[in-house]
Amino acid sequence: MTQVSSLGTDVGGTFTDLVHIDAAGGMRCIKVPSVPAEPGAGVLAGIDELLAASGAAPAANRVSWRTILHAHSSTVATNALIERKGARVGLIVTAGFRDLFELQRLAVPHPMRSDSRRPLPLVPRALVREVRGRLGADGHELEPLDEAGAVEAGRALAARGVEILVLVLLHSYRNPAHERAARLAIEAAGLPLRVELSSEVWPQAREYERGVLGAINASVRGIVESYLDRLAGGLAGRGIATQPMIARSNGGAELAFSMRRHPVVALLSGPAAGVSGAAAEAADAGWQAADLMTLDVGGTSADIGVIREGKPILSSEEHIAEFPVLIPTIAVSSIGAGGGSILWLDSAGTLKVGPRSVGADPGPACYGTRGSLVPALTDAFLVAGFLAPGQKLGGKLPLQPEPARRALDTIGARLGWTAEEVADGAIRVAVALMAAEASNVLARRGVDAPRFRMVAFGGAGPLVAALLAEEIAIDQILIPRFPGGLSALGAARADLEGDIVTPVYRRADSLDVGELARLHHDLSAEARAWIAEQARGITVDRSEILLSAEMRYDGQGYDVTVPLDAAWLEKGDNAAILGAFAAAHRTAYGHANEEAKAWLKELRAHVTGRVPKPPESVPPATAAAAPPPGRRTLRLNGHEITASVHEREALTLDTILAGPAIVDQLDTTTLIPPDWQAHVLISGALALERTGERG
Amino acid sequence: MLEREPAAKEAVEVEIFANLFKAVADEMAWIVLRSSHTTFVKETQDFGVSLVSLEGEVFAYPYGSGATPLMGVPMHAGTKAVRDWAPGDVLITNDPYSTGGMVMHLNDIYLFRPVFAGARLLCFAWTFIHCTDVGGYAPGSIDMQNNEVFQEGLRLRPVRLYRKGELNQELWTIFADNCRIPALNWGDISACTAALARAEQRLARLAERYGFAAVTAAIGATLDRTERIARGVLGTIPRGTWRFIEYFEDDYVSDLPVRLAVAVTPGENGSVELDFRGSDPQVRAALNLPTGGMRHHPFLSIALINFVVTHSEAIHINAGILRCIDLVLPDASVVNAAFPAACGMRYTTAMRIHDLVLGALTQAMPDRVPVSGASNLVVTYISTSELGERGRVVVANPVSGGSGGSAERDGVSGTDLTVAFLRNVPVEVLETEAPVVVRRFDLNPDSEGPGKLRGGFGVQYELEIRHPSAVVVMRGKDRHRMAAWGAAGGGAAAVSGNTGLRPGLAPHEIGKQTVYRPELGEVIRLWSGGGGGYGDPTARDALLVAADVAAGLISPARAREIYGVVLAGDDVDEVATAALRAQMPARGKGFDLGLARSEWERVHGEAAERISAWLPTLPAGVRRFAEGAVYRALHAGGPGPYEGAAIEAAIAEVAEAIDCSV
Repeated sequence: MTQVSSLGTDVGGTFTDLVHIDAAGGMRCIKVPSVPAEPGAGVLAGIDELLAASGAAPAANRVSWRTILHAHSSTVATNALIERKGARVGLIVTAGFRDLFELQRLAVPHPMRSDSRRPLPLVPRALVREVRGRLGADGHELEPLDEAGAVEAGRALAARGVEILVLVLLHSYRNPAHERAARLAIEAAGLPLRVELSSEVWPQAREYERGVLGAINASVRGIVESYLDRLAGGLAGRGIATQPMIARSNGGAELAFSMRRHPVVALLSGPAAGVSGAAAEAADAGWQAADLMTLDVGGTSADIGVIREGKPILSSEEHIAEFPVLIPTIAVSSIGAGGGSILWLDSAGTLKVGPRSVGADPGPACYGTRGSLVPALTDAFLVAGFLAPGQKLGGKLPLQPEPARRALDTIGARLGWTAEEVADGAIRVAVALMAAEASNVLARRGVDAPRFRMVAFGGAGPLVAALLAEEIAIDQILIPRFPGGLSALGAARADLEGDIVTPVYRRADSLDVGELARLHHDLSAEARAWIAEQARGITVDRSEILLSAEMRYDGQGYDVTVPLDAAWLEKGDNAAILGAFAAAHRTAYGHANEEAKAWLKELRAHVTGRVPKPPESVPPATAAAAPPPGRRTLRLNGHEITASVHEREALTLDTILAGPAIVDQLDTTTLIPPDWQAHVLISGALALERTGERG
Repeated sequence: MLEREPAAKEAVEVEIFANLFKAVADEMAWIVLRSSHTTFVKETQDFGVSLVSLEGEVFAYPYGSGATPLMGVPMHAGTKAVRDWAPGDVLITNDPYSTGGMVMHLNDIYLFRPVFAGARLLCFAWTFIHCTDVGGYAPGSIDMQNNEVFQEGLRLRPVRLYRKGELNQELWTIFADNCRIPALNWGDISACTAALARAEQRLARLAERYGFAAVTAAIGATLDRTERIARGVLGTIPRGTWRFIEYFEDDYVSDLPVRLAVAVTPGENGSVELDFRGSDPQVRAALNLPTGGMRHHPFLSIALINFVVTHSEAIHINAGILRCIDLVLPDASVVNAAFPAACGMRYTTAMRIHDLVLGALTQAMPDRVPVSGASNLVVTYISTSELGERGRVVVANPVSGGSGGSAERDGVSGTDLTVAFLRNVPVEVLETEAPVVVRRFDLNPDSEGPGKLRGGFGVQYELEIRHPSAVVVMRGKDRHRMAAWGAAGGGAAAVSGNTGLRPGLAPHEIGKQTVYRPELGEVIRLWSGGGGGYGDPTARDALLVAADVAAGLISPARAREIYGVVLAGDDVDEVATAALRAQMPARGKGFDLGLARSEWERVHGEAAERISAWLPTLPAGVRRFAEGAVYRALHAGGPGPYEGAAIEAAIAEVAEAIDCSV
C-alpha cells in the first residue's frame, strides 16, 4: 500500500493554520501570520516551516511531500465579497425586472427599526440591463428571446466597464435555453467580457436567490483564480507535485482546476471545515456516527453547527454578507458572543454581552492596548479566574488583570458589584445567549439537545463548553487536540464532495415509472461524471452517491430533504417516496399530513469520492514527570471555588481530572466545572463528562 | 461575598431569561414559517407568534421573522376567555368584536395554548396567521367596499378548537365549509398548533430547571425592564402637544375623505398620550379599525414603538413598550370601530396612523423621525375559486411604495416602514401556483418625494392573467390623489394608481374596485408612489442626484427642475448646477402636503374642524351620514373655501334633517 500524508490549511483573517499528518499518522499543527494582501503567501510560509521541520526527519518523510494530499480552506472569496472588492459585474435580466437586486425580497433586516436598510445591491441598477423574451413556469417559451437586444445590452454594459456579465432570466432553472442562447449571441459579438449563467451556477427556483448566487460567483471568480494560481505556483516550486484540493462549504473538497469555475461553492469553507474537522476528531475519539453539536467560540462570535450520525448537516438557507446562499452548505449559526464581545449596561441597568465587539484593536482591556478600558468577555474570563494573569492568547500580549478589573469596575460601579461579580454575571449571560442559540439550532435540525454530545473548539469554546452543556442538558464534550486548528484539520481530512441538483417541480403522484427512472439515470450520470473529472487529477479510492429529494406539501413554502433509495426511483415506487417524505416531515416539524398532496421539487445527488488517508494518528506518549498541579480561585455562578490547574501536555492516558479543574494549553483553556470530570482519550482529545445527577 | 440587592441580581437573571424566552418564540416562528401551507404565510410572512403572560401581556416576540405590527396586542380577551384551562387546550378566535379589538379583522386566526408546568398554569403561547380566505363575499374575504363584518367571512368568538388535546372536529367542519381553501388553511393551523405545543415543551423545561417562581418572576421583570428603557427613550420627545391631520382621500363608497387627527402629548415619566379625538366616525367601508377602546394598542402606536426600538440598542421587544403609550379613542370612530363595522383592510388605517403620528412628531423633533411613506399596501390575490375543488386563492404580491426620507438617510424603495416585514412572492414561485405571468416588478422612476434625503421609490407591478376564470383581488388602494408628504423643505411624492390593458385596446382605469374580473390576457398594472422627501432637494448632494439619473430612476428634467442639478452626460455640470441652484426659490422648512391635500384643506379646512366638533353630539349611527350630508350641502352652495356662516348653515340644515328622521 502506498504511503499517504496529508496537509490541510485554513487562511483566517489574522492567522493561517496548517495541520500536517505524516505517513505514520503523526500530526503537527502550526500557526503562521496571514498575509491579507497576498492570501497564498501565509500558506507557503507555513509549508516552508513544516518542510524545514521534516528536513531533519527520515528520507521517507521528505518523499511524502511530493505526493502529499493537500486541501486548502480560505476566506479569500468571502472577504472579497464582504469588502465588495470583486470584479465589476453586470447583469442582464428578463425585461421588467431591472430592480431584482435592489428589491431583493422586499423586507428589510430589522423591520421595527426605521433606520434598517436592505444590503446594498451586489450589482447597482446602472449595471443592470433588460432583455425581452420569456419562459413560462413549466419551461416552455412564451416569447422568443431577443438575441439582438441581449447583444445590445452586453455592449452597453461593456462600455460601462463590466468585466463579467451574469444572465438571470426567469425560469432558467427549468429551461436554460434562453440564457444559453443569449450567451452564444453575446460571445459571438466578441465583447470584452465574460458571460455566466445563473442556471449553471445552481439551477433552483427563486429568481433573486439564484441570481445573487450567480453574481457572487462572478464577482469573486477572478480573485479566487489568481489566489489559486499563486498557490499552485508556490507549491510546484517546493516540489509538491499533487494538485491542490480546495475546501468547499459542504465540508468536502474539490480539485482546484474545477473549483475555479464556481468558487461560490467555497464561500463558507472555513467554518464548514471546522465542523467537519470536529466530525473527524469525534470519529477518531471513538464517537462513531455520533450526533454532535459543535461550538466554536472565537474573538467576535460563537458559531454553532450540528452533526447527525457523524455527518455535518447541510442547509440551503445560509447567508453570507446578508446574501442568501442556496448551495448546500454546512449550517453554522453565529451569534455575537465571543471573547471580544463588549459588556455593557442598558438604560434599565441590565447587563448585556455583545453583539458589538472590541475587535482585534484595541482588543479586550486585559490586552492593555493604549489603555483601553472597554470591557469584553475575555476580561470577564480573566477576572473570574478562568484565564490566568500573564497567559498569552493567540500570540497576543500577556493578559493583564488590572486593566480588566478596572474595565469591569466601570459596570460594577453602577450595580454596586465587585469586578468578580460582574465577570461572573457576564459569563452567565454569554452562556445563556449561546444556550438560546444552540437550542434553536438543534430544534431547527429536528433534534433535541439531550441526545447530543458536543465538540468545543476555538480560543474560548473549551472555556464555556461545560457551562453551556449544563444549560442545554448535554453530558459529554470532546475537546480536540488542537482546538485552534480544527478548520485546517477538517481540510486535511476532507474527501471530494460534490452536490448536483435536478429540477423536477411536479406533483409526486404524477410521475410515472419511466420518468423517475430517467431522472435518476441523468442525475447519476452527472454525479459519476463529476467524480470521473476529479479522478483525472487525484486518486479516488471509492465513490458513493447519496440521493435525496426536496419535497413539500402542495402549497407549502419550504422543502424537507428526503433521503431516497435508488431502487425507489428505478421501480417508480411512489408509495415509498411519499412514506419517506411523511417521516422526514414529522421528524422536522412534529406533524405530517398523510392525505395532503406532495410535490417533488427537485432531486439531488451528494457525491463523495474518498481520497487516501494517512493511518489514524496516535499522539506521542507524554512525558511521565508531570509537574504538580497548580491552584486557582474561580468565581462561578455566584460562588468562589478552588480549581486545580493542569498543563495539557502533562496529562497522561490514565489521568482522570475531577472538576473543578482547569487545563491550559497553547491555544485554549478548558474549564471542568464541579460535577464534571475529564480524561485524555487515546486519540489525544480530552473528554469531559458530567458526573452529577441532573436536578 | 456581597449580598446583592434584588434589583442588581435581576440585572443578570432578566437578561438570561429574556434570551431564553426569545429563543422559544424564535423556534415557534420557525415552525410556523416552515410547515405552513399558504403563500401569504410562507412567502410574505404574514404570521406571528408570541409568549403571553397570565395578565395577557406579550413578553417574547420574534422580531426577526413574521409580522411585527401585532407585537404587544393586549391578549386578555384570549387568556381570560376560558376559566377551566386544561393542558392540551387550544383556543381559536378571529372575531374583533367579541374580543374587544384583540383581533382586528377576520382573516387573522389567533390560537392560544395554556402553558402548564406540571399542574400549574405558567403563561400562554399564541400564534396568528393571516388566513388567505375565511369565506365572505370576496375571494380573500376582504373587499374595501364591504360595509358590515358579516360580508367579511365566518366569525369565531374565542372557543376551544382542541380540548385536552382532542380536536373539536365539528367546529373545524363549520370553518372548513365556510372558506374557499380549507385544506391549505388546515395546513397553516396545524403548523401553528405544532408551534404552540413546542412552546409548552420548552417553557416547561425552563420551569423544571430554574423553578416555577423564578420563571414567573422573570416574565414580569422582562416586561418591566423593557418598559423602563422605553420610558427613557420616549422621555426625550420635547414636551408640548403636537398635532397633525391625515386623510384617506375617499372612503371607497363616496368621494368624501376620511380624516384622522392626533394630538401627541409627552407626559411625566416617559409616557406619551395619543389623543385621536377629531378623527372621523366609522365608515361604510372596510377601513375601520376595531380597537375596543383599549388604552394600549400597537396598531395605533407603531410610530412610537419603532421610535423606541430604533433608539435603544438590543432592547427586548415586548408589551412593556406599550405600557408607556396611552390612547384616547373616540367611540364608534374609524380608530375604534363599533360592531358591526367592516374592518378587513384596517391595516391601511394603521399605516396611515403611523404617518399621522410621524407628522406630529416631525414638529416636535424633525431630525429624529422619518417623514411620510407611501403609506398604503395593495395586497393582490389571484383567485380561481370558482373552479371549485381545483381552484385556489393565491396571494400574488404585496404592492407597497417607498418609505420617507429622514435627516440621516434616504427612504427605502419598494416597501414602507409599516410593512417592512413583508416579503414578495418570487415570480418563479407565483407562476407555478397561479395562472399568471408577471410582466414587471421594478421601481417607479420619478416617484420619490424629493429632498436633501429623498424618499424611496415606489414600484410598478404588471400581472398578465392567463385563465378565463381568474379573479383578481386588489385591496388597500389609496393615495391615488393625496400623496405622501415631505417635511423640513422636502417634497411630496408621486401618487399611486392602476389600470387594465386588454389586448388591442387602450389602457383603462380600474380605480378603487377591489374585486376585478379581467379578460383572458389582460394585463393589470399597479404602480405606487414613493416616500416623502426630507430637507430641501436643492441641498442634495449633486453626485447622488447624478447617480439616480444614471441609474434611470430620476429623469434629467426632474434633476434639473426639482433638484437644480445640471448634467453633462453622466457627470454633474458643477458650474451650471451652482448657478441654477442659486436662482431657485427657497422651499422653506415646513411640510409639503402635496397638491390634492393642500387644495382640500384650503377649501375645507375650517369646515372640517367645525364638523369634527359637532359630530360627537350626534348618535353614533348617523355620524358618517351627517358628515357627508354637510359636505354635500356646502358643495351645493358653491366652490368654497367654506367659512363661518356657510358652515353653520349647512350643519343646521343637516341637523334638522336628522332630527326628523331619527
